[in-house]
Amino acid sequence: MDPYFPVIRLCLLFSIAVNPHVSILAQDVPWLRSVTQPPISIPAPARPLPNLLVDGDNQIIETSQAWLARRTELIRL
Amino acid sequence: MPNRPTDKTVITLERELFEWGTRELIEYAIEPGLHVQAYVLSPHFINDTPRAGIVALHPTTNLTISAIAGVAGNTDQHTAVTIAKNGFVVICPRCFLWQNAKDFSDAVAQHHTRHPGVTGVAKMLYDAQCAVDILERLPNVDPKRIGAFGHSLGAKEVLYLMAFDDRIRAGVASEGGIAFESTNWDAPWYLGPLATNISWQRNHHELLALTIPRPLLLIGGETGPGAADGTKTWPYILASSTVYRVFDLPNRIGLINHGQGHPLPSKELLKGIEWLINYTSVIAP
Repeated sequence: MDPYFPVIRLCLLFSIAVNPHVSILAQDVPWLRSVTQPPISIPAPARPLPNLLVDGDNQIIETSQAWLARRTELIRL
Repeated sequence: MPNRPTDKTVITLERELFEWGTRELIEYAIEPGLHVQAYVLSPHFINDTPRAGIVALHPTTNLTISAIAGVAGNTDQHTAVTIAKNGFVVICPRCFLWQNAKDFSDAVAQHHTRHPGVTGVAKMLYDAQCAVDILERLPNVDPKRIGAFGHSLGAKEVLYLMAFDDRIRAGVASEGGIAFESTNWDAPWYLGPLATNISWQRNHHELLALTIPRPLLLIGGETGPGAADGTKTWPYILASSTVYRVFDLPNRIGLINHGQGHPLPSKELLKGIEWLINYTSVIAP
């Protein structure tokens, strides 16, 4: 066995433990990517679909808090 | 719509025992003076650990909840039974279009008499939320692990339920039709003239975005009579999934395009159940 294998394995486990993104990905269905990849050719929608990451004051939404505030606005509409 | 009933009393009308579990026909208050019926399917419990619960919303069929709950119809219509066999407690409420109404027009007329100006979709959302109220109070249901499943009419209801009710952890919507023009959203029991009013500012990419970051699987049949979702659904998914950027999470609005038309094939049903099992699990984000 590679003498460095236990060290590499420990480093890998540590990186997974401290990285929430990695741990979340590990909980997804294994075929998630296959259902979230669009086909090469996509038709245009019948009506334009306005950018959702802009709030009611035309400010760009960059944080989850700002989106949740916009979400509340949308629900009221 | 009014506030949902505070009286959550459930009357059990029938109970049947099967190898996989029990099926009960229940009735509960839904609006002042009105009750609705639903089937509740419960797998046998091997311990007291609460199970995940699913609101399974039936498609357009005069068999209504009898088909989805396995009382009548073909086995491929018995989707709630398949879901229950996979370990979920499932509630299947009857859509208001068939509850105490002669036909759809009568149901819509009654609804508009009680609630002038309220769309049929708003009534369907309200009814689905009442079903969640009942489901989350059932013994052995974990109220933090509620999902939603629906095909066709039921899928339309899932989209609105998941968008407007944060109790729904994950959803599967087969052939609901995201694009207004993809299906009969303009019917008086759905959105009516709003769906064809080009000056109306709302669109269904917003609806999809309201579900984020809770995982939603769409299933589409692409072509053939009644096919409502498929390649034409992608612009809405892509427009909505931009919201995932602010959560720093992978996109969890997915589409399975089976290309076999409007009916839900059994293979895709099982994929949908796998989705619900995964994303209503205790460890799911």
